[in-house]
Amino acid sequence: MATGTGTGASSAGLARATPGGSVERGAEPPFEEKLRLFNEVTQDLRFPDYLYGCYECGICVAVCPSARFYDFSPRRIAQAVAREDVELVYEQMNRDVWECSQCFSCLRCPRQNNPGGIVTIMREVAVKNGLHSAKEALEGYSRIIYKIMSTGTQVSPDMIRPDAFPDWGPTAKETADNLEVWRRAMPPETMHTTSSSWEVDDKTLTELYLIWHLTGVLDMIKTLDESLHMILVDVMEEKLEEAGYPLGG
Amino acid sequence: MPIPINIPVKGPAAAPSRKGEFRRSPDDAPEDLRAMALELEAKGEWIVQRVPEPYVEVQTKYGKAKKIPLQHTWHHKSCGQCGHIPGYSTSIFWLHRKLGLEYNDPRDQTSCTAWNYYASATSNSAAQAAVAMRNFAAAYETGYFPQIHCATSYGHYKEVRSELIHHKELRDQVRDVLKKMGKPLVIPEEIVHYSEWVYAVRHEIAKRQVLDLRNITATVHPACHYYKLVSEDAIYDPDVYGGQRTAIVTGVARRSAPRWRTTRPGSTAAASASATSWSSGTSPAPSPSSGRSR
Repeated sequence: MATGTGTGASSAGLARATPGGSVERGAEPPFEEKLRLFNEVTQDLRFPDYLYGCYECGICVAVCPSARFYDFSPRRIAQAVAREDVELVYEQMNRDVWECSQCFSCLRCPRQNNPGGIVTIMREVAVKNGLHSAKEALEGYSRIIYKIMSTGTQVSPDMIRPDAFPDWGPTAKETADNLEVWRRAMPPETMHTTSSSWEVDDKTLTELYLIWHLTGVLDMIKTLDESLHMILVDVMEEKLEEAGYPLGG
Repeated sequence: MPIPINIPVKGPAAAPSRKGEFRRSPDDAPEDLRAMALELEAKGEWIVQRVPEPYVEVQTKYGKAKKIPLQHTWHHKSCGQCGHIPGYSTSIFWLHRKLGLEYNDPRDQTSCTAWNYYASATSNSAAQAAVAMRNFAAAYETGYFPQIHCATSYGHYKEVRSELIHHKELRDQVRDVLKKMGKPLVIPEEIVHYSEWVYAVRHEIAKRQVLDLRNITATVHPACHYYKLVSEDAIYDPDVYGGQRTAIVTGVARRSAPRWRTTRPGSTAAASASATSWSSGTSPAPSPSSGRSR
């Protein structure tokens, strides 16, 4: 049975629920709201495959790179959901989950738990419900979301900016200055592009846009960042309508 | 102080007596997802795209044979490689041409989008599975078999395959999405990473060796999502990199030459992933382990 007596009770003041369902910074939401979020995590179809129990052996913590740098513990994540500690899970959803690097080193758990996978689900629930902590964690990330959702690729050559990546060394400036020439010099014609990782056909992009529409991803973006949602809808609607895909419903 | 390891590991480091050596045991093998995929095909749930011949059979961690197609492959490119280290993908294509093996470099391919998903969670299991299966259907339509360049895509697609096999409701949802774009639900018989292909053709590559790289000490970045996600379905060979990973590796060569010297042009395709050399001097040098792990 889910409880509200865990150590997470100290998280007062993190966020509050709004009539629209999103959770804003401010007062603590009622327990019922935290329980709803908890249930959303545990009802994900992947959840039963991610949690089997915990020896408390700490192997996941020992191998976790995030645990070396943050006050983060994959063991605490697994134990909080296993104990159905609604308060602690809510606190973790507002802070700890954004400290995980999602490397999945914790998969070497002898009980076959997947704390990293549980974190994935918790993050997803945080984004979907518009938790303020999710908005805060993803501040400055809109450009990446726009790139991947609109171009179908995440990393583009025109991101090479020596001021942004000084660790790339002195050749980064020369590369950035002559980017188009460099790209055209490469044998694979699919990589003769500077604004996406490779050239993606229009038809392919439209099919990707249809996936974002039909699986509720655009709704998630709306909850996270309304301006980004408007821009993406603007980019996608015309292509989807041209291709004859119905957008209603 | 450099770590005294050579690649591939030979001699005492790989001796059978070393502590903690992994030994294959079929009893420890997890469920056979390939067999389960074929069972679902028999029930009419989806199509399993067969590995084309010729292929090489290799062993995975617990001893299951995995078919690695040599040619007629559909190259599922990588965002990070194509965007910022294009010598990577270019080299993979170059190797195919050098070996006279046919391939397809498609534009009908999107990113798996998993890199963003793991970073921001602005997606969900249905969307991730639909993106994967759209790419697989696109490959199937060409008749070419997917060869995946990206470590994250490779690990993520193996997870997606497992989710689709175990959850009928997810299969039904993704099938409906693909139906709207006129595509069938297709899963490849094997999910193959380019490094597994390199492993399969390594002796052919060795025959064409031009430079002797044995005295080069290297640092490596074994990509997390390559060998941690569904690790039982990747090639395991104790003679390659101490059994830690089968792939040729992302990394930078370390030698005593001056800092930031650019590698001599035309010095092998594999070396093109590391166009710059690091010194072993005492002055501060950028961290060689700056590769991202997502």
